[in-house]
Amino acid sequence: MITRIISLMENKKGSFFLAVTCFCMLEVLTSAFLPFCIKGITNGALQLDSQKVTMSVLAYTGVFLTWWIVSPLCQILIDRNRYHTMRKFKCSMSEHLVKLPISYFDNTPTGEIISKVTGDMSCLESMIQDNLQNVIRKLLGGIVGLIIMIIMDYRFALIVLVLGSISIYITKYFTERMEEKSRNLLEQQANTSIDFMEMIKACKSIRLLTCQNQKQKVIADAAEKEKKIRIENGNINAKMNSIILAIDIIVYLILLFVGCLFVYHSWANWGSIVALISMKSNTDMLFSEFPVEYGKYKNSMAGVKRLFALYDLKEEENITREYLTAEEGTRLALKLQDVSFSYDGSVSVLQDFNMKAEKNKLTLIEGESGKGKSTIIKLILGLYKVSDGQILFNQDCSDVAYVPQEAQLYRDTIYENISCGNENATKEEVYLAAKLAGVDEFVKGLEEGYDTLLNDDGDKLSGGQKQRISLARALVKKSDILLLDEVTSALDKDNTDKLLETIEHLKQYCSIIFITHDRSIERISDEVIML
Amino acid sequence: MEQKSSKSWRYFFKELIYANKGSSFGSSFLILVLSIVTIIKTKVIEKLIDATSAFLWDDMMKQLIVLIAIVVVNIVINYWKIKLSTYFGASSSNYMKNSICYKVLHSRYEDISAENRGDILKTINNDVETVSNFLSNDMTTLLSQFVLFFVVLGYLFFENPIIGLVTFSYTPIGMYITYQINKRMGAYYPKIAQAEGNATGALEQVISQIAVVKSFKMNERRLNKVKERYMDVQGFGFAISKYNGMMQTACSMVYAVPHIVFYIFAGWLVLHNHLTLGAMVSIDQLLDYVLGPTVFFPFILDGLNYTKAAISRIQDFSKRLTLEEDSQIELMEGSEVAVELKEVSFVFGDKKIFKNFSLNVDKNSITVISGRSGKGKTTLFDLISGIYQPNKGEINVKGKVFNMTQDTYIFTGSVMDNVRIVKPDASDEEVLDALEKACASEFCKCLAEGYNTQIGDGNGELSGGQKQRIGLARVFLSDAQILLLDEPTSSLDEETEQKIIEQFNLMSKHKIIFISTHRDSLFKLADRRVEL
Repeated sequence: MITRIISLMENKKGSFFLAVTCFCMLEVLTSAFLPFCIKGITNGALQLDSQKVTMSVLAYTGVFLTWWIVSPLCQILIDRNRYHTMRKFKCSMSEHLVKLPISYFDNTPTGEIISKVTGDMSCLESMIQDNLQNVIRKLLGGIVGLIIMIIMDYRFALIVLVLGSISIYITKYFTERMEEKSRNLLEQQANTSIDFMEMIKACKSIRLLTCQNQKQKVIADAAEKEKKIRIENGNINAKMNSIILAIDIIVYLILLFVGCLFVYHSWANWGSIVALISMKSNTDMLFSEFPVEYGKYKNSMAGVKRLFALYDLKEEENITREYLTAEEGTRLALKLQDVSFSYDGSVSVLQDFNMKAEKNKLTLIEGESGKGKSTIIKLILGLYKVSDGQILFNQDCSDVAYVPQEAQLYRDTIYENISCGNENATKEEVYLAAKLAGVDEFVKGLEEGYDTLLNDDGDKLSGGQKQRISLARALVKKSDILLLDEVTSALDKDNTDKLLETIEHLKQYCSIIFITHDRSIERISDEVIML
Repeated sequence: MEQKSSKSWRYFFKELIYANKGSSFGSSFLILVLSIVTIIKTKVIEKLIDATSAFLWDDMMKQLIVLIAIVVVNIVINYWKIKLSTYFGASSSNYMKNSICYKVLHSRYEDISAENRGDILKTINNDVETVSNFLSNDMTTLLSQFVLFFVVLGYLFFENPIIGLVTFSYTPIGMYITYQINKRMGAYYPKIAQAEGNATGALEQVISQIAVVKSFKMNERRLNKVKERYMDVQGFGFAISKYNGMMQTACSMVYAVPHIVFYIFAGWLVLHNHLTLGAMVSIDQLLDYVLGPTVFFPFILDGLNYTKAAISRIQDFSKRLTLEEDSQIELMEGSEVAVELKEVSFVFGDKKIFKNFSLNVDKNSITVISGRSGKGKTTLFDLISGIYQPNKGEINVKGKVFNMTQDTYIFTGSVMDNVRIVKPDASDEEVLDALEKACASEFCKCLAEGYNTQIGDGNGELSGGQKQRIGLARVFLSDAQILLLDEPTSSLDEETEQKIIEQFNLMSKHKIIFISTHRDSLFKLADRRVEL
């Protein structure tokens, strides 16, 4: 896990570790060197040696000057590393998310995904910014302190080592429980996100159904669960802290009395005992502070693991297309042969379905709702893989554009919503597509025209207007095959007539497959397929 | 800028702290006590060391007992301090989430529908978390630092005012420098928070429309927006890092300079016999005690800045939403059921949708509202059901209204839950009956777990027609006397539509029904037709 996190830093790895090591060295320098300076000042004052005092003060100032110059550089390196690494990872995560198979999105609430990208992501950020750094600094600083202590007096160091190990062992017990609580909290927060998402998405329906109180209670329950987990975590933390405090003072007292014993038996002098005890603050880094930082590290790790689990999900497989024979390719644009499909493996949506769509013709697919009409479109688009059978495309014209049943616009200008259908489209092409789809007619009446900003999901316009924009988006792609899913359901008679006219006109350029239950479309279709 | 930040702090203190009086004041009080206890502890340890080094066993035992007593008190207070401050953070998070939820549910529809969904979710996940973590952890450190500082300063000034003055002469300068750096640094945090919010918003839209994104292969284009915002975050972060570096030095100077000044001054005093060595050592220890934790200041200030930005975001979000009084027209027994619009004018965005529009229906009937797309059919229903308020004129609705929207929202839950939501105390039979009338029974029985199958976001996809039929089931279950049906059969085939039409006819005998449509099949139903 750690190696993976570090590998995220890529080429900034080196500078990160350099900066952290520098910080460590500086800290060790100050904590080891400073006591000597202070000793020099006190002894100098005692011996009325003003030169000694001056030298010691200068040395003290020198140590800090070093810190004042080196630490900003280290901090900048560490900060830049964090922002750079997080940006790269967030971008890769977004790219990865979009490539996940659509079945993942069908079965995962949006709120949960967003919770991972925000909540769990902040765990990774905390890991890179604070946890890794602090764990390394405390560990290194403590070990160096211990080594110095061993050099000064190995017997003392041994006592500290034994007592310290007990402290680590006890702390480990608590940090493990805290990690579990953190994981629970993250899970619960994801659930709360899901509930909140629904509240925001369904804001209109909730008002119309006047079920606000019900929904408030849902959130209240979710937030209460979070509170409970947090408090439990806090209790464990409080206990751990108390024990660390207790051990700290016990160790201090033991050291004091052992030191006293040593001096009594003339095994050491007070001066060095005082120095050794002041070294304790260094070894504390290893035995008291390191376990706490390690605990925080484990807490962040819970979130990072969830994040990586999402990152490791398999991306969608590219479905290789199969093509029609040359003979068939002269007449047909598309053929479905003995296609069977089921979403979850149990309920079969399509069974041995056959269909032919001729070139430059309008093929109508009719049938009762829920029988699989939209599914056919999704299979043609390659969003799902057929369980059985084949979908055969035409070698020369296999580009597909899709107009979904629900418009699926997004929070941006009307122009953007249309032009995103084709990244190479020129302005003229966008406006032409808009005109063909009947978008021009109502956009003219808007104050900001094509630059009108839509809300989430394109809300702000009527259903029919959204559907026309969705159509324009497909038209701007200028594809060979146009898939229309119930596009006339929200259109009034005038717009429907206009659309049918446009379709007639488009037939020369592409083949159209139209899914509908509107029997009136039959009159302009060349082929009708019943499900 | 100043007004904004002072307002956010007012929110901070007023709502959060007073909402959790027990834990917030409790933990603050304990911090005060703890600081005093810690100072006493240092003194006792000093005496203990003196006694031990002089091998005065009796004295040593006395000091030891006192020390153990103080340590026990210390541990107990510390334990409760952590518990209380964690409780404070946890309660605050709970309070904030409930309060945000309330605002989302009870604000005007036009306000909440204009919000960026992903942005709100980021606020709920990250910003609330930042604030509650700060309250649990960093705030106690900050508070204890302040308390310690002033207690020791007070003690020092009491004991030896001249030394105190000289030693801490740098402190105001140091504080000022730190404050200035922090101010410049602090300006970037709201920008980072906003950029993150926008990125999350754009990402949420990509996820919500993933089918279209994939089929048009617009991954790159749509993600560019997201990536641009993330790049902004990095840019702001790099700017912050400059100041953060300076902060390291500034905070370190706050620690070191008083020490250096003290050593020079006190050293000189001792050399000239104006001060004892013991006193110098003792004051030095106190100094260390107070100024030691300044090393953590960069971290704490960073946390504080993030928290301030988070609070501002939460506050700004609240400010954008105007709460509305829940306008639910009460069911008045015995009075007539009627819908009356008098000279209603309504502007939506910049378009005048209605101008002096009047309509009056007081008999059980079916009124069909027709008109070209965008002319206001849905808006009319929104006005009648209270989602929007008219700019001019009045709307009088007597009786309970149910509005079936064009697109039915499927909540996360079972099929039964989704229908029952319109009448929570309905029995199972009533719900099943409604589903039957809506011609939804067949497909429901074919679902994996029948009527108890979980549907909604993250539970697979229902077809448009299936969703619409669940919406119709809600209509049939509802006991509202006034029904507003927006394109109720747009996704249904002819056969099913006929059955539904029959049901509408039956209902029209004892309900006022409005249907907005442009389909001939429904026009035939009309007792009255209104063209917009």
